[in-house]
Amino acid sequence: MTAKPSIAVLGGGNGAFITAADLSLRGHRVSICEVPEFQRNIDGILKSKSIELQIVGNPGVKGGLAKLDTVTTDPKEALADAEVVLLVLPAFGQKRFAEACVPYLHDGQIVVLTPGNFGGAIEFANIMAKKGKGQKVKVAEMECMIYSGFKSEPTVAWVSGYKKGLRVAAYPGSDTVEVMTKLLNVYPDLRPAKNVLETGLRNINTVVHAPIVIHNAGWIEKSKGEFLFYWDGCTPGVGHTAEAVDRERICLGKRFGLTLDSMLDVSIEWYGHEGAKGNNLQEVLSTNPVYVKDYAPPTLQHRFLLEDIPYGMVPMESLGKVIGVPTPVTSAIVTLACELTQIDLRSKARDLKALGMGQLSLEELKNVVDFGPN
Amino acid sequence: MKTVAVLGGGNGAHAAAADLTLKGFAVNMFSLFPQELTPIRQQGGIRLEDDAGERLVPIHRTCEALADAIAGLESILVAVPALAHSAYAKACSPYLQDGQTVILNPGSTGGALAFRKSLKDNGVKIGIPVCETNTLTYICRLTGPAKVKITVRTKTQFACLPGKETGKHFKAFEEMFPGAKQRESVLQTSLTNFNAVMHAPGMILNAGWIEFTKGNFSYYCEGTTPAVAKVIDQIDKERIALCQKVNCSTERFLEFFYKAGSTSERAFKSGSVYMGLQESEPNRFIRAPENLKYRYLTEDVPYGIVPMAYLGKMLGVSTPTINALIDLASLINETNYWETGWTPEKMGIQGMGPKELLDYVENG
Repeated sequence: MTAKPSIAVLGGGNGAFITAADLSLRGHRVSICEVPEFQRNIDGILKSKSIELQIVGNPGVKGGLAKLDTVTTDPKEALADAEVVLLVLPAFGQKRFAEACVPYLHDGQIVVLTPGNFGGAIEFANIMAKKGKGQKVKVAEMECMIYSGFKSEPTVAWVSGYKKGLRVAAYPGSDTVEVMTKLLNVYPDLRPAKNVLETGLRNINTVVHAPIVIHNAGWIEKSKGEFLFYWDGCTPGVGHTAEAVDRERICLGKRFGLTLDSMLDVSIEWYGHEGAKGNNLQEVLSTNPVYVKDYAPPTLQHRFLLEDIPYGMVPMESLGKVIGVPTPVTSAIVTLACELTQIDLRSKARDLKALGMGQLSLEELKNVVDFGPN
Repeated sequence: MKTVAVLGGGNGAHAAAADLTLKGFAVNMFSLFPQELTPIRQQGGIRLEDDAGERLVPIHRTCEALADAIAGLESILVAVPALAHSAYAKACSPYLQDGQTVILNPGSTGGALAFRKSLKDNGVKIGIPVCETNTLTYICRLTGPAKVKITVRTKTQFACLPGKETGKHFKAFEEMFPGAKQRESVLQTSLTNFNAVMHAPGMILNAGWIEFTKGNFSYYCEGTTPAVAKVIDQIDKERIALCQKVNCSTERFLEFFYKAGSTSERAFKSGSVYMGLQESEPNRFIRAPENLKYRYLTEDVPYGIVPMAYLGKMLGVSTPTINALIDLASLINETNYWETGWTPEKMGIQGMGPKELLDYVENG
């Protein structure tokens, strides 16, 4: 692998645009690929093959006009020359992309889900095993998206946050060192996690999105999201609920032998270089400069519930049941989210059962994530 | 002239004292916080504002001692927030005599059960009947010292613990509050605590909005969005399932709301709780509270949906949405309402199965 590995970015939303632009500006060859049914997401850059990356605050990323090698809806084209494949999209799109690109992956490539959410890398590997041709491809996931920012226009994205110390794990965990060695040529500030249970349980979105939405449901619906999600919406009372979810998450990790940092510590590790500070989770969220332009979602039918409940909180709930750790607060939030959205989010969840791991004991589960099935 | 005692010094007590006086009763007032009654003494009565205009209503007595206030009286009306019930039960205990009746106006959910248990715990050996209403007999608000505005005289439901004595005590109650409806037992009044259904979800689902803006929105009209209304509707369904388990007929929240004159016929017919709250004329301008430590939560959770959830556990009715709201309410206010609220122990019904519970509310 070259010093600046070539990159395929799969996705066409906020994260995909920022990722493609930043990596191009840092000297990588970059292709970006959206699935045909969402071609409208990349229509704006199909001809120009360029994205303007604007900087908000002090993320330590350089902005500018980023040129892309390839802008396409054909995964074969996007993957042809890529050494590193990054899936940068909400968890509910991962399966679709996995199925679209598995046939065109080739030996030696590494696939990284940024982020995995709970079980993302496992799901991808399962699809490879079922539909692939035995290619030697390593699959890994990040615990969260490395950037914070938004696509503001069809050709423009802005970035306000760049996380340092973000954890990465391969599935199985025994591949992590090899994957990390290559990935550090793309993102030098990454750190390894023990396995995908650790990355799956270290996603801050799972801990904070749904509690803030639930406790501001009326405000979101009435104002169509006309308030700052963290700065205004994460009040002390709301913070108590988020901290309670955080404690349940840490207890879950403990049963798997994982020492999970609190989300207060995680936030400061990631964003301390941008000025994040506080004595509790609520303080750091409601003052973090990274979130200066983070408005609340315009509706409750939004990934803050539709993604973070079925790909974060329901898996936590199901893990808790398997290993005997109570998660009453997580369950309360899931129950209310189902009522608020009028969707049975539990039945749509990517929990252990959906990952084909519903029958495993605690020890078997640990073994699978560390060393793979069989 | 019949004399009745009105205990308390807030909105409800002022309204009841003035209204009952107008209806021809002599009222003895008493409050555990005596300063609440000082303005009445100074003014020589309560200024009452209602449909008929504003006037001064002289109050028979404002008592400094509880014993004086209740001595020899048949009806003792307790018009205080549920939080204060146990303090009034304790204060009354040494003085209650055979033939006296306590009426909790309102009882919230489990009020009569908890009051009776408190009396017992404070050494009252005689069987004092404890009655309750499902909601306050007024929509009212203090608008100044010794000044109260009554917007609506509510037609409440009434039951006695023990239920077999309800008929006996209903007559006296109906004289005070015409139009009231007699129910078979306090389970029925307790399970028709519509305040809890209507108030609790909005506090929890708007917690951030309330805290950040210090309540700068209209609680019902703006705060009850379609999704919030869905949650109200869902906990109402859980409440109705509880009612069915104890053969207690009940109406849906929206029907109650319409019959109480709180919303339009169009909204009622639409079947939408959201529209019901949108078209609620009496509630249109009511602001959200300035913080989360407000009775919509601090009363309606521990003395409303918490006892409902416990009744659900005892009766084998699952109440997942109610439970979820209690869990989150406890977190945002850092108070475990599952413990501070009316538990089966505090209601004196711990360990009872459905049959024993029904027998207890009927026979005491």
